[in-house]
Amino acid sequence: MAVEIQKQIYLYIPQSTLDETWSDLVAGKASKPNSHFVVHNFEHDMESIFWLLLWTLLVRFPCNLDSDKERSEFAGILSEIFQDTSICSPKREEVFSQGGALYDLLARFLAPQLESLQAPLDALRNALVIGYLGRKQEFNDLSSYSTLYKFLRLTLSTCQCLTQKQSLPDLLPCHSGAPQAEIVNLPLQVNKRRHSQSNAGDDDDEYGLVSSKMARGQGNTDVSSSWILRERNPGVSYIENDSDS
Amino acid sequence: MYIWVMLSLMFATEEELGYDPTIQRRLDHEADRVCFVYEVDGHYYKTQKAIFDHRSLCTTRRATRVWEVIEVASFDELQPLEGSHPVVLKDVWLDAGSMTEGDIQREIFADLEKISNALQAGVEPKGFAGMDDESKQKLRECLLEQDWHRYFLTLVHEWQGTTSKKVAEAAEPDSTLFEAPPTTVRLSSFPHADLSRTSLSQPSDLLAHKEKPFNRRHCPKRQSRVVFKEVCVALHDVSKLGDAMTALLSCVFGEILHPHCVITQVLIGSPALQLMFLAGWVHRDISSGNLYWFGVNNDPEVRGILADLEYAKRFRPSDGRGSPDPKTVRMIHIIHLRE
Repeated sequence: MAVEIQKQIYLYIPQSTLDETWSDLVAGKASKPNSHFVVHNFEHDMESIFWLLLWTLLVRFPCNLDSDKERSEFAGILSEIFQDTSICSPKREEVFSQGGALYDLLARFLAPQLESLQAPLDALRNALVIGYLGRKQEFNDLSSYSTLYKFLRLTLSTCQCLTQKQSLPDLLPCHSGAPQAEIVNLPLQVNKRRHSQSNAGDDDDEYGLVSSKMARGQGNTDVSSSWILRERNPGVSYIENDSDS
Repeated sequence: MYIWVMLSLMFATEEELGYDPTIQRRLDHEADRVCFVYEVDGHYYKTQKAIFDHRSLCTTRRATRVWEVIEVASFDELQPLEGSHPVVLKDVWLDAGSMTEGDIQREIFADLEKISNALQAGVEPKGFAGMDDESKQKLRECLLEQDWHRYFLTLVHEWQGTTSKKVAEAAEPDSTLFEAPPTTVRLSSFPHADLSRTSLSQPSDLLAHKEKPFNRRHCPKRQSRVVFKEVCVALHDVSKLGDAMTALLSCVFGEILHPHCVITQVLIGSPALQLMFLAGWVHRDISSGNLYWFGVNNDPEVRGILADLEYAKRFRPSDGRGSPDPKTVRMIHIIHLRE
């Protein structure tokens, strides 16, 4: 989900001089309440594709970090960026709208085989941000959207090109590891219970919570990454914070 | 009150008690497992595999369930019909007044037809302004040939079921019932941090129970089922990075031949997102469960499909009225809640 939609605030802020606003306010003309809707536009759909791409490359692609500390830090950052809620975490906003934040994140945590995608991903992010800012409040200006498709295509085709050039490991599964056939036709609770039983130990409850959350959350753009993180980093605990209504 | 409730339960019909006569649970002896048989517009479908199950137990949401199914003769005859192929059944509860996926798809196609007719008469779509030549060329071909249907899911059957009751007029919310579970609080990692406030799980805990806001809108829901022809794999279930990239790329742009790449599979264009842009529609719900990779054995057509159009709507920013649905929330309301 696009940052603007989650935060219900446009990234573009109309500029006005201090003198103008000062004299208006002193004259008793209160600022007009900002009662605009953040209307979902075509670029928000493109941004969703960007987040799906980032999620696939960061969360689902296997990455071998050396130390527990690094793994734990990476897991923490991912769980902040890809939450199963419609709320935008400060980290997610920073990664999208602050120049350099995504580049640094990718430099540290993107799998070595995907290193060449670091710059194209950041360039796409930058193109989208400039798209939002450059549009200002001219939401009917269709050319402000149509020019952006090119950048989305360039990044996506670079990614696809990479997969053609070298053999890469399979993506980590989203499901809890049980073969699809076993999940079929069983109510959710049965699945949860079985997972808990099969995972004997003192973290049964947490495991059940995570797997049930995955079952619920996998449809969002902000796909919960908890289960995959646990698979990737056994022993690292994650705090679940599902504040969605 | 107690007698009232008991009598209501005793004399309620099965449907009023929550049983759905159009779904039956059966033991499939052949596969030796339990399955469900759905009735859709006079046809019966036996579930074979769960494709997607998103918050299906939450009654205030859409409770979406997506199954791979095969057509059978009735609730009790579970042999697949001769010549039937696996298809996809989506069972969803939509807001009573909202358009179904089929309605939205037909409207998008109608808009594309208008654009196509205009293009044949020499008028370029407005969305072409500023667009790169490669995209324009691809879209122009698609529009002139009028073959956009295959870039969206193919509807086999549609069915509308019952509508749930409205919230009774005399009903009053009681915030002490069904309280939200406490939210886990992430403790500060700073060594000397003040932890005194960490017992507050959410801002509303500062208010007394009776003052808690309880302004949730519960509108009646209508049962809706759609059967699709294409059996796809959701993006979050795709196991190869290359396939995931193909799905993402072709959902937006269709066939892309990169000069430095050796494309091993034939990609047929599926520029669903750009077609929607030209038609003036925003999807509003792009997610890993709505973006599919479609590839069939022995079928050269490997592509991504953008589905689940229930939230899609025409882009009308100047309308000013907006819509009170969950995808567009009024700014001022948010500010009020924060205060």
